[in-house]
Amino acid sequence: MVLSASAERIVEQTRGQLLQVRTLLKDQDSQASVGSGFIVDAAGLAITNYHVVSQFALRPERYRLSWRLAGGESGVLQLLAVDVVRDLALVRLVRQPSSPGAELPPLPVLAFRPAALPLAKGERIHALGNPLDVGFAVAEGVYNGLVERSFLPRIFFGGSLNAGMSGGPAVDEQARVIGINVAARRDGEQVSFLVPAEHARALLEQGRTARPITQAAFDEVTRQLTAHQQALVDRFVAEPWRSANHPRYRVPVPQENFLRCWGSASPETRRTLSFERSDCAMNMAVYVTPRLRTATLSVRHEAYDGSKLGTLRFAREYSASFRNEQFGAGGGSTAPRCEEGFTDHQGLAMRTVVCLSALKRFPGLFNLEVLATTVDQDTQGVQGRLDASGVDFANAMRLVEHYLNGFAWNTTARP
Amino acid sequence: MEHDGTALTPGAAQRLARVEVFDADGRLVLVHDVTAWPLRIGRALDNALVLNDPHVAPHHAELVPRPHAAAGAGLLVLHVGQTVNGVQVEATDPAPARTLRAGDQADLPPQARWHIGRHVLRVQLADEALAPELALALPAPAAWAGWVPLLAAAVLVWQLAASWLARGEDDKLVDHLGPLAGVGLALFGWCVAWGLGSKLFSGRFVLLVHLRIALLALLASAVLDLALPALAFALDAPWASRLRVPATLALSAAVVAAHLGVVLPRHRRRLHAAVAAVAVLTWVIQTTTLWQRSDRLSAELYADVIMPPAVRLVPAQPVARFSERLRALEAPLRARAQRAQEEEFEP
Repeated sequence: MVLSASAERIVEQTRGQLLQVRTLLKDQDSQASVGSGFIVDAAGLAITNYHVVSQFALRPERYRLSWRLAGGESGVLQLLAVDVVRDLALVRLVRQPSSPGAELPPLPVLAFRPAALPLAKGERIHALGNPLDVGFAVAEGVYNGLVERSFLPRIFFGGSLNAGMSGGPAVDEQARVIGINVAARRDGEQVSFLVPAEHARALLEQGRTARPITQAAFDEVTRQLTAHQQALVDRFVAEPWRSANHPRYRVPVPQENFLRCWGSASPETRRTLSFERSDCAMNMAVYVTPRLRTATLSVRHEAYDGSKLGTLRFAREYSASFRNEQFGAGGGSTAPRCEEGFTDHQGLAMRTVVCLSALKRFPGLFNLEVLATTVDQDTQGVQGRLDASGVDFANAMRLVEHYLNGFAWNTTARP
Repeated sequence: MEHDGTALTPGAAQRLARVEVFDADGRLVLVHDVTAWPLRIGRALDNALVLNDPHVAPHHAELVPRPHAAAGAGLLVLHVGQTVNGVQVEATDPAPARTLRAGDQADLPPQARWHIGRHVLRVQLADEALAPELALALPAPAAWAGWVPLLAAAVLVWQLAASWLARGEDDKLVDHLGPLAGVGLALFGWCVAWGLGSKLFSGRFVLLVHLRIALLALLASAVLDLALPALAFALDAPWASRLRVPATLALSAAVVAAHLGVVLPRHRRRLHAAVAAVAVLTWVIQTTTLWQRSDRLSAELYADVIMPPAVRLVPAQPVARFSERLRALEAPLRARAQRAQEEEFEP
């Protein structure tokens, strides 16, 4: 690929402001992870992703952070503040402890593009970083607006992001920061995501005078996750359910404002159990550790028709589907505890299983799994499931009631 | 019919006692009728009872009746000759085991087993009180043999029903004949193996008894698999469903114990106790492992069988009341998470 003239200019303009962020084991120089960052304040303040520095944030006694500029200068990074939900971190560049002396000289900074100047879809933008620890690089792409159906705003970058570029800036033609590289879809091409720059600017203002984080930041991470799940559940519960258009039952299907739904059905020619399936899930989760991505919601259901099977064979197939469920699969949580029973909403009886597990290092947050299946028909039924991760107990209870109350008879079908 | 003589004094050709000689593997190798006392035992040919055993002295021992023996005392006295290995007398209640050396003499308790060289000897006196006749351990086949075809038919019907329930969209009945034949062959092989065990240890090849046990076990297993989930669903009693694993373990243990009881009828009580102990130990290990891994006593997270609506006998409860029950989960989960915080955490 031949770089455009503007890309060459941008490489030249940003060369001194880009840095590689490395997480190293405390007592040796082996690197545990690498990412990118960029200087936003002449006093040595820089922005990167939270997930680039998460190992240090949660285990500072085991890891340390270092920086390296394209020119070869390097030093130690101090972690000042994190925004776990938006995947951002504010760090400060300091000299190596082995080379004491003068403070770092004022450093060149990358400016943010003013919020009053929104980008238009199709405008050329450039993502910068150090992909795969190969060397500093620029990736040209296109601004495609915000990602649709995303609970948190994310910029859809039509270009390639690779591992190691996380935390690097995405800039406009004037080398002003419009977003921070954060993720890419591996099942597509040139489908990448940026955190809007306004959040980095807010974190800079909030953490500019903060003292360096030297103790594990579990409390702060828990606080941020707790606040986030409250907003997430509030919005989810406030939205009315959609109809699944089932002839007998009202089946809860979420609005597609920040969840995306996919549907499938058994072939029409099927002579035994036929079904229709709907699967709705958020397309993003909050990264906390490599083993823990949380703050997600998903809702799905399967509507079965076994009128060609008869009662006993339908019961067997229906049970097999009810049995074929995984619980407590998420990492970083306790083993699940479950409660089960027959529930009734507006005369519709269901067999309901609710399982909860607690996040181990983030007190007060739980993973919730609700499995509900209708038990009133000999050869028909609906099985539904709601999953929520990283919610507090009160919100878990709200979600259980909200979901179970979403099931009912269709008024026209009520016996 | 033999004369039940009581005299311990030598008589013409009267059988005064019988000595049974067993080899080291417990096989009876010689029966010697005693018609005169004393009975000399050794490797030399001038003994009445000659044992061709390199560990036996030429004149190893001599057995003589004790004159005027008191009731309960040994009626025979064993004199040990010039032997390196002596004579080892096994314990008989209440006499303890003992080893006699060259030159020793000792009373020989009734029914005592004693070792000379690599042989074991036992003496039965002509006037010895006999133990009552033992009933045969094996039941008479005719009493229940007619049930075996009925049991086999019941198992077959059950298997056919299960195949019918599980048949796929394009399955034909013939597709299920293979698995059915497989079940039949496995059942037959299982019973033949136990039958060979009976032949080996009890001398009789017994097939029908083992077949009856296996068929009953299959039926019991099928009933458990159906009844416990049905009970759990009907009464909203998940504990019934969770009984499936221990109940299946108990049934397996009962089947093995029943087969073993047929193979080794004389040790039935001890074998049953041993199998029960193994079953309990297995359950304890399984449950402990499960508890450590998942904080649960049952591998089953929830009762996972949905029955037809007519099976449900209890009413459903309002969502709000069900939700109230969930609150009981919070405290133990928080406590578990708290304990986990004290463990090593690797982000």
